[in-house]
Amino acid sequence: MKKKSSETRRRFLRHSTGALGLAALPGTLGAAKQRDRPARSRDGKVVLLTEENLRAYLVYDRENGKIMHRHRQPAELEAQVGDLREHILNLVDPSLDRGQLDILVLDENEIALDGSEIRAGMLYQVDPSAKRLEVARGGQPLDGGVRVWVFSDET
Amino acid sequence: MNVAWKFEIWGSGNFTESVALSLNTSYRYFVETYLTKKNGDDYSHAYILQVCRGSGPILCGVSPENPGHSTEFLPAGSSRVIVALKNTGGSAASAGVVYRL
Repeated sequence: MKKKSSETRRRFLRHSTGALGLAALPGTLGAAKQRDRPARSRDGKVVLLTEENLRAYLVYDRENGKIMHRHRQPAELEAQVGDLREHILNLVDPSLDRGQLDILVLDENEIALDGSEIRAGMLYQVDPSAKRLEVARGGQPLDGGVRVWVFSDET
Repeated sequence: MNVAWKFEIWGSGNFTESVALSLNTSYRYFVETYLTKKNGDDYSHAYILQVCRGSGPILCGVSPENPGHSTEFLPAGSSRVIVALKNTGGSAASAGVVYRL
């Protein structure tokens, strides 16, 4: 899998948030400034978890590839959760048939398995046979995200 | 009371997005999450999806999206909380804070 440079990632962030206004543009509003210059807790410990540290799990329908749920968590958590499939499927809407669902894990949550960037405005689904993301007319946009900051030693 | 975590979730279209936050079982926590933006008339909900307790055998309680509480005092010994944002149509964003009590 190709690794994106920081400049590429910065560019992607602009693209990925463009449809949603200024709220997540780097350096424009409070939250984004915190991303670049995280506040320090009283004990001086600051760990900034950004997209790079969170593994993404896409839960999809194994027949049509439709993405039903997107979950993110630190990769280290996998060792604590036991049966990973069970853990992730527990988070999905209980009205869905679990037997119909499968999980695609993305190590870097904005990068498809072929190394291409996930782009805003494009619709995606999972190709169930190849188990990778693909651009699809009936898919859904993935131009969203999660950003978290931890201010103490919770991890 | 100290801030342990701050988080944001955002996106567009039909999606449910969740994120897991680790906790120190020695402390008590209060979690709040709320919608910060909604573009369109469709449904959005920011809520606490799951709380797990214990550091050996871990017990997790799932809160279905409906009713899905948005604020909660976590029980003693909580080791993980998962917050979520559900959206149907348009775009939505949520934010929240986990306070260490």
